[in-house]
Amino acid sequence: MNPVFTLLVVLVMAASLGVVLSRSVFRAAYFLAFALVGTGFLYLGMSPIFSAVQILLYTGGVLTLVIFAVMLSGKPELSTVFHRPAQGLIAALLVFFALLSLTARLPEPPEPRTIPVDVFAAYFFREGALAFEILSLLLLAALFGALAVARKQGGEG
Amino acid sequence: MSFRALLFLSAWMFATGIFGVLSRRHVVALLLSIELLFNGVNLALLTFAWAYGALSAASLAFLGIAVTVAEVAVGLAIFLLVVRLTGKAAADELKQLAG
Repeated sequence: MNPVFTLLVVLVMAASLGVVLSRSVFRAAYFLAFALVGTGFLYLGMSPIFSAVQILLYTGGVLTLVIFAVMLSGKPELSTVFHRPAQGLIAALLVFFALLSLTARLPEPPEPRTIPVDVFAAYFFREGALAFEILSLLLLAALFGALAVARKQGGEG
Repeated sequence: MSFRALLFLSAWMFATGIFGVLSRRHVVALLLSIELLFNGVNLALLTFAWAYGALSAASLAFLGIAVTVAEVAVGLAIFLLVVRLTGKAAADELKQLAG
């Protein structure tokens, strides 16, 4: 196996552990940024357009939002980090081994190939045009909803 | 790039996300764990699209990414409102909706 690929996989695994284990939410957000960018690099070999979307939208958009929200709330950490971690660990292990046993049964893929952007776009706008339009409505609704919820009560704006 | 290693990574991300969702107390940490879940699923979908040439999986991943962004924006707005109203950021201390 390619050593760069192996290193990337190990780094993303460590970063996702860091997200759930780190005490401060700030540090968790940085670990998440690391995991998301690492996944974005993994997407490079599969479909470069998804790599761009991943890094721009997730890391650029979502993490900026998260860090702003934590800064505005002024509560980056709590006195106790976990609530019943043993049960959570058992559930996580069960899910992990269930998923592994499912993937072990999959047939070997014929010959993996990078997804060309034009082929994907043609497929997406033929089969998923309605979903795309509904998605734009959802984004608009989320924008107005977030504004309505987060603005000061009784204020002018 | 290996098919099995990518699926292993996706299962690992999903499982750590499950642990975070069930065990973390901070509301924003819960949202970050949900991001981890979404990312694991997207990785699996794209791996299938890449390995088997299933373009429907790639479309699902594309739609999923956009839905996640909307969800995080609304979730963080609710978090800011809750902190402003109650001064608490721990999910297990917020019981106003528990009935």
